[in-house]
Amino acid sequence: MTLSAAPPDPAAPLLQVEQLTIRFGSIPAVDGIDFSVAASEVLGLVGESGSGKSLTLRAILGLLPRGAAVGGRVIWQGTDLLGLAEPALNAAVRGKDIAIVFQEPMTALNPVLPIGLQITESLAVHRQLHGHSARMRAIELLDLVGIPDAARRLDAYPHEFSGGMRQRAMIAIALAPGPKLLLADEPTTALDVTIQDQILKLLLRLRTELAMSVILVTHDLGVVAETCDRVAVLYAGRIMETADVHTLFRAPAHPYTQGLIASVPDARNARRMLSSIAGAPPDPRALPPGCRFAPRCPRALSACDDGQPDRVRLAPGHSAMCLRAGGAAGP
Amino acid sequence: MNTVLPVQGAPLLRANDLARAFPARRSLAQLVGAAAPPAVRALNGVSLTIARGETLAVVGESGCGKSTLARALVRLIDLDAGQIDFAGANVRTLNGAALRHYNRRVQLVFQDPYGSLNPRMSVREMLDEALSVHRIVPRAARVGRIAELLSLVRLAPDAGERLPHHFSGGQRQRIAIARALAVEPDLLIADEVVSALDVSVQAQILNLLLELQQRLGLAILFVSHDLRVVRHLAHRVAVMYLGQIVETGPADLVFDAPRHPYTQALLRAAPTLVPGGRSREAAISGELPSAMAIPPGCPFHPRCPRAIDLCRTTPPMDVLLAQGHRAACHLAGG
Repeated sequence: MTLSAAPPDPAAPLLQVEQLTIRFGSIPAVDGIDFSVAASEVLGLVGESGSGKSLTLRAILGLLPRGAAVGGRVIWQGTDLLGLAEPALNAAVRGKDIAIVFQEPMTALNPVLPIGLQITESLAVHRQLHGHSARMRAIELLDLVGIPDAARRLDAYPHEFSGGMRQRAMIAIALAPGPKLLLADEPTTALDVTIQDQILKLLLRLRTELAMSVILVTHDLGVVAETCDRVAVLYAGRIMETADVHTLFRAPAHPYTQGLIASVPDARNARRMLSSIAGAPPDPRALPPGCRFAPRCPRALSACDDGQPDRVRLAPGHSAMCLRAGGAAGP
Repeated sequence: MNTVLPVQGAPLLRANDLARAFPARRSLAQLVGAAAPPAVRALNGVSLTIARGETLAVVGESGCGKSTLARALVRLIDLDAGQIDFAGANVRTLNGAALRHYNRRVQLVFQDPYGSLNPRMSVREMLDEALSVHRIVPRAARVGRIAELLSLVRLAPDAGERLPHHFSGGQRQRIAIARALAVEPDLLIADEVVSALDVSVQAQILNLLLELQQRLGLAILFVSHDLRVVRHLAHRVAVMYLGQIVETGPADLVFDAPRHPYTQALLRAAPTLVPGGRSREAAISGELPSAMAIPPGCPFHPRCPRAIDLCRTTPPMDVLLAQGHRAACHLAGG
């Protein structure tokens, strides 16, 4: 089976996720979510802990823990990745067309191998590059991600790198096979703010220079605002709202999105009470019957408990899963 | 505006020139060569004051010494040099009953609400222990006081009978705050207390701290790496870099008119809710140097976009810029 069987359609999204569900026993951790990524686009998946954002990202590459039952479709160039067996997945996409970087570079890098070897290994597997040419390409890649003195650093081990340099090295390894899509799972959460700034700028530069798409999983609305083109807001395993980044921050339609944005401290209301969201996210073993945000929602109606609300299309590319969204706006 | 300093007069706590270095492990070459053991200079001449009812935020990146400072102030870590005065007492020489009294009046709350609560004690037992150790209220009145504390931090009255694992991260942080408040402290030292929490829960805890300060007149030393949170809570701010305070002043001045290039870079790097904001130039190049090899002259000069020759050789003095606003930079004055 080849993956390039389907004729390339320039308008079609690069990756399309349809009705993705991930269950652990009877617990629905991710419950029927849809999204797509276009070429050269940065899509943000934002949510609080337990919202299912990291599981969603891992499901794309079949990297879920044992015991996870996956449903739905992950369409990559005409092929449903969820239907592929491990060898086909490895041959076709994993680490090749679709690469992933994690939050903790120290646990993702091999501590007993020099950084350079971890890059040339990937070049040998995916690009059939060996010896001197692989080494030269590895130096280029380290240079590309902003590691100074790349030729010398090739023989350094991960423990000799700082946190920021490790994350750069991990991105260099991910880039080695020339992926079309980079999955980034909280790539800057463990880093200091000045280093986070450098890494996010690096991702944006690579997106432009390599025409690569990025799915960025984060809990930080500031990172989303400044880095992403489009955003999907997750809550308790469902996408509550999808919008382009400007619309999301200018006119958020879902009460959860509104509450999240209002929870972020802002210079204009220094030392005044923040309008926080009351309560805590639901226990995944005892989810509310209707809208999962209803128990915390300041605008909930009794109908909100009557089953999952429909997705309301508010504008092209902007939708919210809320009875109140669109025309039914009340006081 | 409520950003005016709440209380004038003598500070509640005054720290002068605090210094602490930790010995680092020696490499084999250093052992053979009998070289002087390398040291991590975590605090390198830190001075600050906190008034009653005031929030002083200490902000900086990892390794800047802010957590060492928090621990040194409650004497969890010994200092090599410097002086701490609290309500007229010399803290570094306190012992016995006087030290216990100080430990009651200055309480520390940690970042990790999972690691700082005893998993085998119910919330009521934890609060009861704090009350009995410091003999705050008579035994008969403790039940009532515990109920008061739970309501103060907005936990349900029946929360007292449960063990920590029944609670979410935000609720555990409320328990840790309740335990600190049980002994009626004058100063609460909060070390990254909202860093492990989700943003909606973080907002609840920030509101709680604001409310408690207004109701109880608490002084708060708020240690954090998060500039948004700091701006929200602080009356005054101290920015730390490699064991030193490089800029300090009223929050409005430090955030709106920062004078130290490091403060300026931090503020530019901090994420905002403005879409597309990341497309500008990188705020700062390079990484934090090792605290074992602090650069000579100004410690920030290798990363500073404005460094001149003087910065590479001579440590800058504090320059007074406005009432209470100082920056340790050769270029801040002009």
